[in-house]
Amino acid sequence: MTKLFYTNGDSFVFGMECIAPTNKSEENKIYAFPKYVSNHLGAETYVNNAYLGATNDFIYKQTIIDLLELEKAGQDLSEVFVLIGWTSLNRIEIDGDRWYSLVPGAIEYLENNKNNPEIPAEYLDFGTLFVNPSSGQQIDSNDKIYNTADEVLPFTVQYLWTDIVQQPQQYARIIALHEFLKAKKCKHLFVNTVDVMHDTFELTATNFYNLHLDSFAKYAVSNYPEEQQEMYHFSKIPHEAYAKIIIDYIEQEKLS
Amino acid sequence: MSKILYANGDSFVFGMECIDHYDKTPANKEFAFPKQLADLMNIDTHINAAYNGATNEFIFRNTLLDILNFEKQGYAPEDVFVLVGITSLHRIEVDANRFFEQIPKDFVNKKVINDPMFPVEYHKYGTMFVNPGFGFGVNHYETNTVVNVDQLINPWCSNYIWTEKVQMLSQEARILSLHEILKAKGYRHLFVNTVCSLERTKNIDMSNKNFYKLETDSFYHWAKINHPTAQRKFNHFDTATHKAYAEDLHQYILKTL
Repeated sequence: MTKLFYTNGDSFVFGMECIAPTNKSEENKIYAFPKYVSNHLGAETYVNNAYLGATNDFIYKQTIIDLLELEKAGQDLSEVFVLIGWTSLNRIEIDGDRWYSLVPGAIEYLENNKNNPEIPAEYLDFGTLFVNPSSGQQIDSNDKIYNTADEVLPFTVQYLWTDIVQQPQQYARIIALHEFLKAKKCKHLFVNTVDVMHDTFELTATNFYNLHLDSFAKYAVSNYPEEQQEMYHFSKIPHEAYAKIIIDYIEQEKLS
Repeated sequence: MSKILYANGDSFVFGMECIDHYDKTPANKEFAFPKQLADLMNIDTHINAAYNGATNEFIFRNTLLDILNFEKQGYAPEDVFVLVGITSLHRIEVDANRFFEQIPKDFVNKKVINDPMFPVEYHKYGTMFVNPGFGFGVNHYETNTVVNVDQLINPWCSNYIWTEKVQMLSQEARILSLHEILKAKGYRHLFVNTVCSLERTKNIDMSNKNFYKLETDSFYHWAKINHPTAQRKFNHFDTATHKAYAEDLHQYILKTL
């Protein structure tokens, strides 16, 4: 029996643009593919802790911390179903204040305007910023453009965002979270949202859905290209269709 | 009783400079505190998988994968005692090929690779561990090329990622998840700090008996106070210091684990 459904991941798990193009509101989570899976499993509580732009390290650590907190609060983890959407390997979390301090007056502005929806949620919650090759922060101040890409990408592309560095780390995260969830008797399923893992890494557990082959984005682009939105996410139609595939897999492999 | 003591960690777990100043050879492992602890616990087989300069992520990753390999080989969890040395938060593993590609390949293959400072992890993983104290660099005079981690890597990391805001939660999650996995599988285990204490954590229960003085102490801190004259040129410690620390750990294990 699943009482609580917990999911973590990136903007695809968040459901960004499900409601409308460019829409990043929390309401999107109700239309994201995990919600349909949660409904099918009859969960009383749906917790979607995905963040836009989240890194795989963030997804890992936040899932561990959240589940241990739930356990501490008295939740029996054997009644929890965990759905993880692993994201692309080329992402990083940086210290937000270190970047904002490059922009004159930015720190003060952020301090006084915490309700501004343009401020990234991860900065408000953790003081950090997620950066990847296609998204980050850009501020136009006094005719000068400040961009996280200029500060971050030259280093990360050169030294960190390579398969030699990223693939083993991601493999360890997948295995570690799987072992942790097994240890806690949590039912669980891992899917990719963007990238796939090299087939040199052994990922054979039934809890891993096509991690070598497929991702939500690949599926949606192939099957629902017309549903792709302005910021490369998808309407709720591919989310619902993908959820059906995930539900069939959960049933077939008796994961719930 | 355990049959294997498995240790993973950084240069302090490796036992760097136990034999002599500057000595980074694997022979040091025979004198490092994990080996001394194995002797005190009457454990015959001692596996020290530490690397000089290892990052916490590397230590976590390889401990987990090594443990799973033990299981595949048929070892029972109760046969293995796991000792994890947690290192400083300010370390990173970078693609070493991307560092060395900036200098002529021949020079790297003939000269640089024989430098005693050359990162040995490159041979197995293709990567290089970098931290603020690792001033590795290469000068190639013929092409007037200088590549140095102090210029190319440390400034960016110090500015954007070597901060508690970025590092602490990741480290907490690693410790907590590895502990929970080891506990569930039935491995006896102990986590110690090697460089600095883990202050200001929000998510770790420091009263947990598997966490040895994580909030207050480290091997380095303990050695500096108790064996100040035993410190080596590269800031590591001699064999006697390692032995004394192993004795403290052994007493703790007898009393609490």
